[in-house]
Amino acid sequence: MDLVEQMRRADFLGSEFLTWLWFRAETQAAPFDLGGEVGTFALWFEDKLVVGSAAVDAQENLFKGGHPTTSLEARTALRLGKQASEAKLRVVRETHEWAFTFKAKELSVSSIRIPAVLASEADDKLYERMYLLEQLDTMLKGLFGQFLRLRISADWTDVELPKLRQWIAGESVECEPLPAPSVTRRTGNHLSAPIKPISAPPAAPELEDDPDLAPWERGPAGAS
Amino acid sequence: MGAFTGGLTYKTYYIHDALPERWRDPFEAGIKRNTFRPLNPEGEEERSVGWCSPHFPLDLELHSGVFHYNDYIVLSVRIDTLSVPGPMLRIYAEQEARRVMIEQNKGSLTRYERSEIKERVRRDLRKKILPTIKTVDMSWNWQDGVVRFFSTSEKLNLEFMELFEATFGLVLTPDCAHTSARLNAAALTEDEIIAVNGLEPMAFVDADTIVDAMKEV
Repeated sequence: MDLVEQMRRADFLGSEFLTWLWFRAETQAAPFDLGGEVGTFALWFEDKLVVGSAAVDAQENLFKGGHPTTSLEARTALRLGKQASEAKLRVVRETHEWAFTFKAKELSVSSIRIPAVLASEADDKLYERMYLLEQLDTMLKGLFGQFLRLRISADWTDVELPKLRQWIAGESVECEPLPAPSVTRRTGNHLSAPIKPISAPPAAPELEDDPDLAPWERGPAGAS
Repeated sequence: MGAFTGGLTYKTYYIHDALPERWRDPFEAGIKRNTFRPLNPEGEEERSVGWCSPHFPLDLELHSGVFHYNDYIVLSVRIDTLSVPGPMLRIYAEQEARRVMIEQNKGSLTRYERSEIKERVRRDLRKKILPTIKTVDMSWNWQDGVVRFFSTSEKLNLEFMELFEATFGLVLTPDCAHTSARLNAAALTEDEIIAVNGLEPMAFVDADTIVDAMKEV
């Protein structure tokens, strides 16, 4: 199977993930925990939600305004077998807050509002914005990994799916938070990337005046 | 828009290949080779795509100080479009056709003559109008192999992928469930990834729940 075919085959995992996230956001009392440097953070659904069915050519339902995830209409759509395909989400980690639209099929984010950028210089602004986007990506991919780990485990059919079905059917459900993965959380989204801890945005280079360095290594002079 | 200021909507790509050992010089040469080239109003091309400075679209002097920021390469894709709008072309072609009919004392023109007039008018108008300029930022964390292109337009993304691959000789893999499972941040083991690849779609509701819901709606 070629890569394109593999990618297409796995598309369904996006809407399963977003639906599971909806379930977890409503039934899990404690915040999400990815362990390592990422730690805990809160996530909740905001005022936009799209539900549809990837399996059949069914209508999509768009809910806007108010609190769609608790609306009777959205819950009925779930009971009809539909899954979340797009939602506006908010993530809060320590003092930082991100709001964005998450599209399940591509696992993509759009219309992102990042925490306030403090830097005023163009270069620093870039580093800070990229750092904040990378943090968001790390949290979302970490949650996706947590979902996948659960989805392939025996706990999925024994524990998680029955609770998910109870919740969809309208029963009251409370979930224990998932344990943080044992693998140390990393930034960097490449398998072969060097491991780097999440700490602070990279400092602006201070190398401009060193004549022994190659032009590439002197930092972004003239970029501001 | 995107990397330094403005809206944050983007599509993510990953580079799975390792970078060549001495990549800076060939990459800079690739960027120079694929720097944006303005459209020639005398020519026929309606669209031109290439790199420009992420700070100013008309700045086409691309050296490392413009696009290299520590772990990032940041560039803008500039897309110029120069085409005469259809309604404008129709109006001026009709004006020219009327002028020709009066000049040649004719009551009508053949389809061929009208077509020839339209083409001539299109060329004349093309010289008078300015191209539309659109720029979209690209940021590439070359340490991590993560590329962000700050647009979700399918057409622009395809043009970007083509330009990126022509410039750097590296293949971009779009972000999706399949690729996300393999990322460091997902923290899955190789065995877990194999298990994920074997997953099939699953209904989150049983048949009874669906039947009950259908009775209600």
